[in-house]
Amino acid sequence: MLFSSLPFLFFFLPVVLAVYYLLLRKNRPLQNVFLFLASLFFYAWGEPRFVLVLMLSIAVNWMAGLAIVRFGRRTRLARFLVALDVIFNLSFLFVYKYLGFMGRVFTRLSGCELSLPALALPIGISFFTFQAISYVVDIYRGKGEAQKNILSVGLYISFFPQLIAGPIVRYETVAAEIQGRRESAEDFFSGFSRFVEGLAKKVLLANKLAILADTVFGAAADGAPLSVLFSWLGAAAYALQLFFDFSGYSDMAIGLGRMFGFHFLENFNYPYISTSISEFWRRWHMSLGTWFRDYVFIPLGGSRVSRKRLLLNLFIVWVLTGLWHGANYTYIVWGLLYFVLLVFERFTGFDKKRKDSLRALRWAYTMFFVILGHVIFRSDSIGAAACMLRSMFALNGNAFSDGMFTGYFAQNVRLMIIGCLLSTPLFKRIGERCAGSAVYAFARAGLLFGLFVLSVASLVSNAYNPFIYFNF
Amino acid sequence: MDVLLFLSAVLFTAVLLWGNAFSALAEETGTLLKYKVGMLPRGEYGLADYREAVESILQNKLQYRFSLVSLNSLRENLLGTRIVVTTDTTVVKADSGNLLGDLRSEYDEETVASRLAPIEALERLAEQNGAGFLCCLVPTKPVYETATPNVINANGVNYDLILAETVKRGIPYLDFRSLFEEQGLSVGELFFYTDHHWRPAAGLLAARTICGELSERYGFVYPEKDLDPAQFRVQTYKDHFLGSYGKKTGLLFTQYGADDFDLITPLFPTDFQAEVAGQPPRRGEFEDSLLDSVYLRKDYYEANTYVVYSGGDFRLQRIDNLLHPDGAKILIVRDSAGCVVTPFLALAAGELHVVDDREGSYPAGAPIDLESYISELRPDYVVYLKFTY
Repeated sequence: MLFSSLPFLFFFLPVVLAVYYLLLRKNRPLQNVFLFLASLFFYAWGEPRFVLVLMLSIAVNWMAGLAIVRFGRRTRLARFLVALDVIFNLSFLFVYKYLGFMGRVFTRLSGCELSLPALALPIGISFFTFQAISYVVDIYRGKGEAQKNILSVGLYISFFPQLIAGPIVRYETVAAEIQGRRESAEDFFSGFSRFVEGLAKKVLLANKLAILADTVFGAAADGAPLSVLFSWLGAAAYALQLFFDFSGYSDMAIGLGRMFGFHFLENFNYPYISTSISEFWRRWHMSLGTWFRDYVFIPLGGSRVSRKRLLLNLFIVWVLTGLWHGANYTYIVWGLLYFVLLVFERFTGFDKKRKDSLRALRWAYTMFFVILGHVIFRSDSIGAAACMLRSMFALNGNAFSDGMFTGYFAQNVRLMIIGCLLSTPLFKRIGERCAGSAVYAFARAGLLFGLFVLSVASLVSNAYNPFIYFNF
Repeated sequence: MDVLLFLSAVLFTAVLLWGNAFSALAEETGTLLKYKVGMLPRGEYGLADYREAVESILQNKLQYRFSLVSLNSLRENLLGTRIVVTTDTTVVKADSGNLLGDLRSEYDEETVASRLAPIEALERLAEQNGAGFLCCLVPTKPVYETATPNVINANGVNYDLILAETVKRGIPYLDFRSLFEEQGLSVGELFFYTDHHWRPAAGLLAARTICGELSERYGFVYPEKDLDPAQFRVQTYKDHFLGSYGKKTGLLFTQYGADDFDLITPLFPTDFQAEVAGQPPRRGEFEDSLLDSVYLRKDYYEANTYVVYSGGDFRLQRIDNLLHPDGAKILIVRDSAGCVVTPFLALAAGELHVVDDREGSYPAGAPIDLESYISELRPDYVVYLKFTY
């Protein structure tokens, strides 16, 4: 089930809220059980057969958490159990996500045909697997108590707001809230506002830009000749689509969490205003970046190691970050691109340089590589990415502009201008300046209600509504 | 003020769910529970069925659904959207604001030949049975319009390719594109803005032209005055019809809104009997037997007013002109372009047999066996009339 769907907006969410707040108001244990069961229903709506996979993950990680506490945190046995649990979780991920890909890699490298089955991927497996690992590791590190009740672990791992598209919620950030959260009217209503913002970003911006992006990338994959400007237009449209889709989903997840008294950390912080790649990754998909930092980079030694070892650590992190996004060479190349750029910035001190006169240039440099990275990320294959990149840099003998560019530009320019403005903290700053103004608050509420109605209107009209997280 | 937002959203949701949607959801949930607790035979209903039912209910039964579709179309219009992609089709707004669909790339030789094959087969059948044959090439709306530069529109080129091949093969034909150009008719006069079909007035013109061509080629005798436009009453229903493209994009996607719809009926007495298999025959005046006023109701999103003419598409319809029993026997093989032509053509014939032989499940029923039907019927004339794609 998608947040941006009529069944969620008109059926699932109203029923869950009504039962949670009206029927089960005074019973926290029952509320948690209900949320867990509702989350399973939410997952089963789209993937009934994979509910068992999710439940198995919950059961194993629950047992691992209890065992670690039983045998003492920070002991050798506990470390062994953590390792075993991590291997179990990653094996899940490997079998469902990477098995077929590994077969292809082996075939290519060895020349021997090795055909391994490519299993259907349970949606959200990358997210809930990482959350499960976070659960066990945070217990080991003493950053949260092991839940005695398996349903509470189930709630943490499968809670529907963040189950299929994140953010990756670290156990330590919500451990206390599983039993001890306090719902408040302020959280509830502000959470709903946040949800509506995210819904509008996804439905009114991302979905519309997706049409243009899909057209361009589809043509590139088919080897069709694209003009330089048309290919850049498609790349820019995808950059905006990806941001609004992903951050919109995160907004909806954070807003929904807040409505039930959970406080998830932010996942995006205006990444497109970044003036370095390092800064970009402090603002983009922050839950993933911090997860890899705390569960991979730092355990490997972090940056307090020799230069050679630091290079290796960064290499491992960025290859894994790429692979986490999908089983394709494009994701590995994408990860390596950022590895190279981050190493460059780190070793030249680029990120530390703060000359404001060069800010525009630094921003241009950042956006240039971010867009190139997005092109590789979005492409179905290295070949398709190469075709797209060659078109962007006029290396295909292609025209500079054509009717495809002029037509699509005219039809999308207004939306892209809105998207560019919303990618900046401009409206946030206006909001901060007007905080306390009743007129502003009323106007904001009216605007959000209008956006809610328009979002519903778009969904009712059967408009294009892609789900881009099927690889995750 | 977040409270205000939430309460407004709750009210909005409740209003949309009120009535049909809510009761349908409740009923469906009850059915699921009954199956799950064993009150109904197990295995016949499951979560997948429930999911499908809920999605269908919410897509089709929300209150004010069509108002929301219209609102969405206004948003698309204001954003400058020219291409609307839905789950089953793509509609393009032309430079003029006209709605276009079914835009084609340029055909190769093989495709052109495949278009001519059924026409030639029909011509052979006609010749074998001593009937005069006429192929009517009906241009599609995109032939007349400029779509956006990012959309391929070779419909005009393809029309010319098919016409050239028709001429080359010596098939008797009527080129409606040239005819309309000679008459100086604009695309807005010929076609609905929000639909792919031509207007009733174009249908009357087409019927008159077909009769004139049959007369010139084969000496067809018909009451010419019965096809004189001056002999018809035109009742215009303003802003009445939202065509198939308009239904998909929404009422406010173009500046035209909904189309006007003309009901064209003879001023002189008529008497027909129209029969469709599986339906009771209809007997009476032109408007009672050949038109279906049920579809005349003004319902932008759920009524297809276009099929007021002919009542729709059928595999086989027989129309007897009871005031002209000695008139010619004509068999016409058509697609939906024929809906606004055949009622007027029936005025000129003694018997009109209307066949829709399109492949697939529309119209309902299996296509008739044209070879046996023609050999049994022995029509005087066989006419082919379809949109030329």
